[in-house]
Amino acid sequence: MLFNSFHFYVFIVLVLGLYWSIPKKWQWVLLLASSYFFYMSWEPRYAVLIFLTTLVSYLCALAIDRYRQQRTLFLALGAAVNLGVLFVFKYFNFFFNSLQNFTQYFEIGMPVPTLSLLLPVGISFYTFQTVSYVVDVYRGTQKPEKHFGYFALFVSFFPQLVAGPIERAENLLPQLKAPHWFDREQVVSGIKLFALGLFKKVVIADNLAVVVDTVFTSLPEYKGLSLILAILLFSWQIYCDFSGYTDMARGVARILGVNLVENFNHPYTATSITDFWRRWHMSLSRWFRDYLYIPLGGNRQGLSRTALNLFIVFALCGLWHGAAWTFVLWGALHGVVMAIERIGMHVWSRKFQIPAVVSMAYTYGVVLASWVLFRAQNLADAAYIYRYALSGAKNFWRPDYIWATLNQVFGTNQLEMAIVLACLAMISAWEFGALDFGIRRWPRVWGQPVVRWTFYSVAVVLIFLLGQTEIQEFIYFQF
Amino acid sequence: MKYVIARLLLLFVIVVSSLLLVDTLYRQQYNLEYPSMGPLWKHPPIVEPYEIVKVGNSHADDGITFEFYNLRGLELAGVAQRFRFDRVLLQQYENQIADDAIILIDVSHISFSHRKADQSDGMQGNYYGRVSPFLIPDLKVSDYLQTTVAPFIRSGYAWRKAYSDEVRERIAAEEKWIDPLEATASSEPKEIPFKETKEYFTYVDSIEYELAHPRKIPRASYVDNMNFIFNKWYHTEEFDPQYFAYNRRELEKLIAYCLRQNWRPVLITIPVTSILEEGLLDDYKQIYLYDNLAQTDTQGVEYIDFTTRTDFTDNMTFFSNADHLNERGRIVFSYLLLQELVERGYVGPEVDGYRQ
Repeated sequence: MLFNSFHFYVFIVLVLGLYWSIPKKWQWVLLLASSYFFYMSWEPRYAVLIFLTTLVSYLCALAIDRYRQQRTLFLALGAAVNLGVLFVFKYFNFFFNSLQNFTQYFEIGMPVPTLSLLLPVGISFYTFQTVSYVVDVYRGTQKPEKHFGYFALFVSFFPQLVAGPIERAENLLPQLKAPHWFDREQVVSGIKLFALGLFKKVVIADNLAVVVDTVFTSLPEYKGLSLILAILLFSWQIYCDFSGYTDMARGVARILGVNLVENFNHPYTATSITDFWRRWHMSLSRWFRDYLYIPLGGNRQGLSRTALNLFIVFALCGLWHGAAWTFVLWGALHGVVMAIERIGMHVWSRKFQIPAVVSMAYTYGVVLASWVLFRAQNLADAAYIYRYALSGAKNFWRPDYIWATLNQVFGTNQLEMAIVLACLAMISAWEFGALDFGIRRWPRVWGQPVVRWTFYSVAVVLIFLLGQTEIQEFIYFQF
Repeated sequence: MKYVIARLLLLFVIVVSSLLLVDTLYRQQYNLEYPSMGPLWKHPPIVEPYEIVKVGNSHADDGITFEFYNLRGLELAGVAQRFRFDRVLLQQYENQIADDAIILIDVSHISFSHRKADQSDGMQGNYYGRVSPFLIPDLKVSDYLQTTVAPFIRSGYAWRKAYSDEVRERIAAEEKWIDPLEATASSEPKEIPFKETKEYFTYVDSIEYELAHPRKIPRASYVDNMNFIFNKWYHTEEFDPQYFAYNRRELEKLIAYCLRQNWRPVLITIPVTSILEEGLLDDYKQIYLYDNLAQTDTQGVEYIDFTTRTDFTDNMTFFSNADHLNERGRIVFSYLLLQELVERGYVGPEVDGYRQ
């Protein structure tokens, strides 16, 4: 049940109707039942998996608190079960296939087992959430939750279950336990946030996806500027897809009276890759920082160790995104660049000031280059793009070459070209502040109901007119 | 709460009005009428009910015509139609089909291996507006509502698609365009295509002559298509032996349903080209068709297999591609079918409109 599907709208209207009608002490029961129903709409069998993960984490946390002497054992057990489930369902085949390829390279025959398992939706998100809870209890920063129902709801809360944000118990649990009344401000702001997310997803991301998918499914037909255009559009597609999902998740939660953490903060305005990761998928970055980077020593053990830690953390961050070498390389590339930035900062620290525009351009360039690895089906495709993206670079400035490129990519369909370029302009304006802050800079204009209503109405009409009728899944669901 | 609901309703009215306006402009540009919702329940009885009905996939859709049968015929076959939807369509028309009506059920090479039509493959969309939503299995409610109840909300998509099709056609036309000077410069003799007239094929003597003297067409022109079909049947997820048991059960239910309605179902297999038969694996027909039929409880219903008629399968002029009949083939095959129905006592000779 996707947020942009008819089923979800029926589901949420029913849930909200009941949520504000039933006694407040039963709201958590309704949310828990709704969350399991929501999850089971993908594959009922995997509800057992999330239930077992929840049960083990719940019991381990209680045991850590009660048996202080053996708390490390229970921490290990909790982490092993959670990460073990993730390994079996997501990485088992990748690991053994890679091992087989490695041994074959040295001409050592080695039979490897393979599992034909469907990847449970959202497994990477909820396992990280449960691991962080068990570790927090172990560290003493979080009291173990005694009420199994509340804890089960913390793990399965449907707005953020399948693609985050990855929540911490200290933020989410108290909100889930509290009674919630109908709050007009909260509901209106939740609806607006949901609509904004929907707009980003169905108007921008899905329309950009048409071009991106066309190019990536027949790569050998494209060279030069076409490839660069496809990657550029993909960078905005994935941003709108994922941040759109996050906005929808946060919007639904806000309507229910729950505030989820921010996950994006204008990432393409970042002035370094380090800054980029403070703005992109922030809940994941914080997770890796708190539960991996700092335990590895963080930046406290010298420059070379810091660089190594960054590399390890980001290679694993890449692996978290998908069981493929392209993702590992994508993460590793970010790790390497961050390590270089760290060393550069150390060597030239504050000797000269780089203009923000230059820093932003550098960061966006690196991010763009790395998205190639993220989007490519395999390493060969990525290598093709790196090899041919700059073919004929001397012509890139020529209007006739640009026009020919656009015609090739859009199949001479100028209507689609106009729609996609308008989407690109809209989201770029939003990202770089002109749209988001520009309108609000004129409170007199924005204060006029006619202006606001026109803006909202046009946005909703565009959702219907430009939304692809075939419902598209969110990219981050596969993780 | 009233505040929020009131504002949402106002937004709803503005948005619907805008979408209706856009939809009107789109329909004016392409001269399209606003679609009707279609039936909400089964069709009501009619004075002269149908006496013969065909169901099945594109093989039956292309292969059978009741044009020269002196019976009231109803054609309910369609592209990629499965047994489950054969039953759905018959249920939709059950009040309009006479007792004792003949129901021709096409059991083709692919019928038993065809994947179940679930919500993922969009098959249900073929029946929106034709069949009651309460009869369509695994109905995609949102899709149905958008298509039949509120199609105006899709006008943006439809407009873009129409424009996109125009662009594609224009490009295709430009690619096909041949320089007249080059064309006239070519001195190679052109093959003059055989001129078809429907009247010619309605004469029984002509049909019999055509069957006795198969007209040969270069096989090469069918080989590409044969390979395409071979790959489609063997190497796509659309067709797989894992669906045998499901489709056998569906066929049994279809037959049982027909018998409960006091109709006379007949199972038939429509011929494909001998080129395709040779191109498929030797045991294809045995495993995919005959073994399945043997394991199906056909409840005493007769089976007529036309794939063994080599006088038909060898004549390439009857086929539009390796496994579908063309207009000539349809007329001739329907003639053969009628002879079988007369011979087996389903209908009397007076039904034969080919001899009149």
